[in-house]
Amino acid sequence: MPRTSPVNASSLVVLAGANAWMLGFIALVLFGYVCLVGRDIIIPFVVAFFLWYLLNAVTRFLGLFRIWRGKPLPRWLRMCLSVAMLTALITVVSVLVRGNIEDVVREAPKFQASFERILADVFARLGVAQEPSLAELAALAKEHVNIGKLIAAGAALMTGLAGKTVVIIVFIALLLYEQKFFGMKIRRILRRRAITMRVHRVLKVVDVKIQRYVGVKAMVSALDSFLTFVILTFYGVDFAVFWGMMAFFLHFIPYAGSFIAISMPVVIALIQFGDLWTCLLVLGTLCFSHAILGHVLDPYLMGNNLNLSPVFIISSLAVCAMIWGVPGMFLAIPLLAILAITLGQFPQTRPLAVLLSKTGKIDPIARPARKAP
Amino acid sequence: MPNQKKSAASTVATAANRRVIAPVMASSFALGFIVVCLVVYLLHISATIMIPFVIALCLWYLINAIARGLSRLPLGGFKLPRFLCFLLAIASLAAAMWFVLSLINHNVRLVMAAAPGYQENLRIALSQILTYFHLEQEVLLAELQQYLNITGIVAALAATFTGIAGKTLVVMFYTGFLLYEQRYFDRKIMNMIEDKNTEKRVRTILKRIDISMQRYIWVKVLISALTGLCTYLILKFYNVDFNQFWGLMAFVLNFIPYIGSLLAIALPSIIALIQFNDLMTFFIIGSLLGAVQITLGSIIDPRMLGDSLNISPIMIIFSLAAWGMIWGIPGMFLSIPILAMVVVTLGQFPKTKPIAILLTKTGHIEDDEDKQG
Repeated sequence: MPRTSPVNASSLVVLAGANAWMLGFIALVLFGYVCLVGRDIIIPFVVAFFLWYLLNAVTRFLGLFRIWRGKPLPRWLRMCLSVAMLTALITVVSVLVRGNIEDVVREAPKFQASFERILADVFARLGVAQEPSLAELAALAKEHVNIGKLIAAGAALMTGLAGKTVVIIVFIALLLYEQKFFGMKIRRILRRRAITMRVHRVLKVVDVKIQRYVGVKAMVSALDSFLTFVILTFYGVDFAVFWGMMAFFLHFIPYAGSFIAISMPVVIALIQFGDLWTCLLVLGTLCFSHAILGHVLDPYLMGNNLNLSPVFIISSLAVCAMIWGVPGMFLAIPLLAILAITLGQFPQTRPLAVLLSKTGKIDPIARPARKAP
Repeated sequence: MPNQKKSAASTVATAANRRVIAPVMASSFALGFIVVCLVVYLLHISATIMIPFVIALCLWYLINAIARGLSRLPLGGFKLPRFLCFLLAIASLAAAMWFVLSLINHNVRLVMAAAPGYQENLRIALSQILTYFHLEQEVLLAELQQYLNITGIVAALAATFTGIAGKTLVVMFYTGFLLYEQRYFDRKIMNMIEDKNTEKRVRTILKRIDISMQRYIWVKVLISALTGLCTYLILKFYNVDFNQFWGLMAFVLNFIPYIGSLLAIALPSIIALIQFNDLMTFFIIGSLLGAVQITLGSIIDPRMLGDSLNISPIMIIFSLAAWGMIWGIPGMFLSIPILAMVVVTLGQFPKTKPIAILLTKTGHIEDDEDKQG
């Protein structure tokens, strides 16, 4: 019998598998790098894609209403309606935000001065800081909490996006025009039936889950924003409208968003009233409403929809923020969800999907449905 | 005969494979190299994201270890409930960290304030030594000063601690979620690995890592505490300034192999030299500290650790340099635990066992075959 050579088929398979994994890793890193350097081009496209998706979702939603003779409105009319609705919404929000930002920017220096005074006062009262560190703290605070700069950055972000509006609109229009060919395109690209079914399945699962995610988030965020507005108005805190609106957007950023949405109004309240008790009351009320909405209502409505591990959500947030800055933060959860769903549909990558999940139990791989001949 | 048939088939297969295997293997090595480079680069550029996560992992591990220790406490047949164990563990760890950090913070402030004066004294002392040995002054002095920038060293250390404290919130988030999610870990491992043998092997690896880490941590904490205490007593005896601070530093630095001990001897001795301006005291203190470090670090420490951390000193130094380059000071603290984990993991797979053997001190690797056979 010939000596069994170490060079056998199974080790070849192992090596080839390892190579595929390593290449995949390299590709992923390069992908991240491309996202980083191409952010100026990619972000408008992603925003456009998101809005396009939203338009389609709204159009489908409108199709549920049988308005005229038991029939829904024709598709083109529904599409026009949803475009009009979205445009109106964006216009109102941006006008409001712009007005408020102008107000805030005008008031910022005054607030900054008063903020520094209060900070020094608080530390002196608490007796936390010794003599030398007081000046240090003030300098540190000045360096990190430059309110004017912070708001200017936020404004610049909005303006930057507004400046890209034309690009975004063109992208959306093209996507809307081309979408009727998408199904055919995918079918033509992927000739192999099994793969086509799988891609369709992934797209469908992503579609359902992301829609549910966006829908629930939007609802809870709207409620959150309203509650924030009511609470701030009740206590008479300045810029209640602005912070209420910011709460709506910040709710889409996991963890860090809630933190900002609570802490900023509290800081404003502290500066405005210069009174720790009022500030603590505002803090307590805001925390309470956020806790109820974010940790009771949100999980109740969302259920195990996305099934993502919080540890990986934070990691994803950090990585996305590093690559795409603020827009990346909004995309941290959807991107992670898409990644997890895609990985979960292929037997080779399934372990990674399990790792990303919260409960360690994920949906089974869809078997291609047998089509009737 | 079936046997002959089978061997003939395998010969054909090997003949075909032999031509393929060389390029596949070469590409595996090349890809492996690229992946390692990329991983190191990614770890380096994402240090701000990764370090809080790694610190959280360490804290999570410590909390679990303490909780397990508490749950085993014999309280007359009565066992503490799991929940209470964890609360106690978190509380005790938080208290210990608060104590150490506040002590360090306080002392760093004092040292920072005194550092410039010391620097000046150091320059004078150095020039005295140089004249004593009839050495060329200016050149050497300038060179030495470059290396012995006390303010720089202290500032770097202080910045590290401040940076870590600034990340506290993120670390707390991560730790909290790890604690929350750990009930799913077992199921995750089960669902991730379908092959029972591999699953068993992974569990063995985790158990081995757990055992060696626990041993490493307890021995190191004990030895470091002893070192810190001895350093403190010696410095106190000779009335060296900041003896508390240096005792603490000796405790902390003891977790960095070799270089940490060197610093823990050199820095207090230099301070003593500057303070007393007396070479004799300098040598006495230096040799006493050296004796303590050698007895505890090179005689007692290896005895207590035994073979549980069988790593080659060359590799330790290399790993120290590499992690120091990748993650700075936090990387230095982590270099030994990471190396130990790597050795345990690589030792469990036949393919990677040679690398593990290369990393060990004695070349012997504990594995299942040894135990069973």
